[in-house]
Amino acid sequence: MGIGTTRARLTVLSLLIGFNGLACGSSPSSAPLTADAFGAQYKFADNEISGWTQDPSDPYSTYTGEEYVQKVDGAAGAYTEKGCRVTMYQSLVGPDPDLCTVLAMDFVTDTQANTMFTWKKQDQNATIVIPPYDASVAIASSTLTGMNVIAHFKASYFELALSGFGAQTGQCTACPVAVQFLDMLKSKTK
Amino acid sequence: MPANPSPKRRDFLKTAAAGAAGAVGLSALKFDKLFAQSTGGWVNGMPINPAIDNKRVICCHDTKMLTSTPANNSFTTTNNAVDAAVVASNLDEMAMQLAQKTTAAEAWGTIFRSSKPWASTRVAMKTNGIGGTTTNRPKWAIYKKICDVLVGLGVQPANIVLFDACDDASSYYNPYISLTDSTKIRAAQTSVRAAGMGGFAAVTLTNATAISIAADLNSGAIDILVNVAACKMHNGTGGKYSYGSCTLCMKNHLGTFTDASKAQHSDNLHNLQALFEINKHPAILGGTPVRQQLCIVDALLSNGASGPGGGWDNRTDRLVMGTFAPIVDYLSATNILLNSTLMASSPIPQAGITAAATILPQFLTSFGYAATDPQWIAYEASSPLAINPSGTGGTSGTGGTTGAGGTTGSGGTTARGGTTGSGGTTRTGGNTASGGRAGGNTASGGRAGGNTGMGGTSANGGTSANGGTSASGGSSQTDTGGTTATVGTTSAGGSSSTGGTATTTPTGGTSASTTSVASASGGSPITGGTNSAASAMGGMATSAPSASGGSRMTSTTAAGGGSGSGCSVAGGGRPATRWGAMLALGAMVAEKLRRLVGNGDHSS
Repeated sequence: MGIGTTRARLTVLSLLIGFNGLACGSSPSSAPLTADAFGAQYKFADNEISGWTQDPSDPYSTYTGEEYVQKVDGAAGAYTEKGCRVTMYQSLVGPDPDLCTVLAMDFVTDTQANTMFTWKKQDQNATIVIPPYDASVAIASSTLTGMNVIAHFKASYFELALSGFGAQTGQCTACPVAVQFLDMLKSKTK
Repeated sequence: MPANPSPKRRDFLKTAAAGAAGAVGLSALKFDKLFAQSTGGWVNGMPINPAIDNKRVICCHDTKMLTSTPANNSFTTTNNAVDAAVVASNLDEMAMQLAQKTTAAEAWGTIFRSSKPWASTRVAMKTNGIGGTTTNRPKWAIYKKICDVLVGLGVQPANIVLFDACDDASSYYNPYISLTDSTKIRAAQTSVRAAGMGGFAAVTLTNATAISIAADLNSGAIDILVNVAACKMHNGTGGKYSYGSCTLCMKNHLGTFTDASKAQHSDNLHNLQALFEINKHPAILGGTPVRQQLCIVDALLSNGASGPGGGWDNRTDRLVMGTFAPIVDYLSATNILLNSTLMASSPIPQAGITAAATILPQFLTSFGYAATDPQWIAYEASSPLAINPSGTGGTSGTGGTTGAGGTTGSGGTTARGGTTGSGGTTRTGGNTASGGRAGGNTASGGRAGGNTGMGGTSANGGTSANGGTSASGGSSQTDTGGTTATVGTTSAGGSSSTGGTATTTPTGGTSASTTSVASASGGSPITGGTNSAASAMGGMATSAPSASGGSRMTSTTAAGGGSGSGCSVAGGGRPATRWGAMLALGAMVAEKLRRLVGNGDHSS
């Protein structure tokens, strides 16, 4: 292996380190990502999870700070007042009739993301555990058509609304799908 | 449907009627209450619709409105599960229950009014564009039915528009809209924010800064506003559940009013006082007749734990209808959203329930109402409640022209016979009784007669009737005095009177009192105590024996009824004088004139 190759590897390594440092949902010392860059980090490509594609009727979108109000109006305050800096919204269509909307939010610090998670967990009285995730990391509450999942990895906070699965009163039929999404979101969080 | 008379003719009649009324001493203020609703926004006690009590709210439960539980939360899937024909049929019945009319056509013709010919009347229907495709929002079938009704009245589809000036709702509803296809919502394309509503106009509010509104609502170019809201929890700014834990018809107007400086924002309006202020604003409750004429909460599917941008998480199978948003919201929140049985799939978070306990009552008190005022009239679609055709007094009351008093009761300005039963066919307002709420099974006598009218709380409705609070009417409303009886201390029946303990027999009526006059009441013409019958009833008591209530001076049929008076003009309760008779006479004259105007006049 020549010197050139070694240099190239070092260059790649340093670029990777640099990119890693910028990746959001990351440490507080990272330079903040723009909403678009943050969204791109978490956006699901079509079939990135097999069978799930972008909902053509519900556009992907990103928001900076309180601009999330544009999406959910007054409900945005529950997030922005706890430190949400940027938000990504994506709606995915799975095998009929399954749907999943994904919210990914940068709370700047791990602590703030955890605070958001803890508040939401208590507020929603979420009790459905999603193995292998610990209830302190991800948890869900049942709806009539599926479940609402909340999770946090590092400084990023997530919500998944899964519908098309029926009420999760007995067996958690939506849990395997939730795990697929959570695994992917975790892997996208640097 | 009859065409609206020209404003000129109506104005002439109003002028003429006012003159006649003035001649008998009827105040211009009271006259206005009877004939018109020229308002510049909310004033406590103001009737939204003179023929319908502001406090009356109808709730229909029918699991057949959804053919099945939608498989997911998407707008398309959800709407595909709605049986539009069943929704339409239920809305007809609800309108009849609300207006107390025996046909849907009469009911809708009572609910919707315009100062213009129908063909040039413009209608805006508030919807909700917030969130994404999975967000719970009003179903298209509701708008379709209301548009069918309006088109049936003569409104041009091109003059009807759905809107949300904050969030563009066009992508959701436009696929369901057509100017010509009667299987769809017959309306113009959904306004993209305020673009189809004349753009934005700045408004000055006390409780929020830099606010805009859809210009055509502010200018009055829109004649009728229909408010349709989805039934959703709201966790408010910072998750504090600051708005009563719900987003229903009132909150829906954050989207009629928006922030001026930022598109798709209404955050400057997110405080409780601003919420109340915009819902009193002339753009909403101004106009003659009042612009916002119908409020519907779509509670087929409701949001409990899911917030305002979320998907529905409970199937509640209900529609709610009323004319006055604060009371519609209060009752929808307390009876549906906060009902843990109905919302068992995903209840409102505990913090929301706790906050609602202190904030929801402000929905009433901020508009001059008390917790005891709202009337929740809930029924199963398979067994609708009986309708009392002559209707009820409504807020304005009365006995008056609208017939209150009629079979359902009613009576006075405040009273109504209404829902509590009062007033049923035999009661109040009815043939024998008089006025007011009274009359009802329980109430009778009660308030009847209206506040001013007879029967006040202590009084009794009228000669035969009676009933003060404790009183009478009782089980047999026609009797006065009822078993326990008696009538109030001051009025009819008078102190000595009525029915009193004595009686088991009906007082009232022509036969009147049973026992001796002294004790008897109601009945005999004079019944009564210190204030004799004649004075008691507002009216010309003359004939007395059965009179009561009101204006109708004679007789056996009395009160409350169509000749109205009853109350607001009659004056009972107060010791009567000749002025009472004059007032009653004024009311009769007014009534005649009103009837002249009333035929075909939908505007007052």
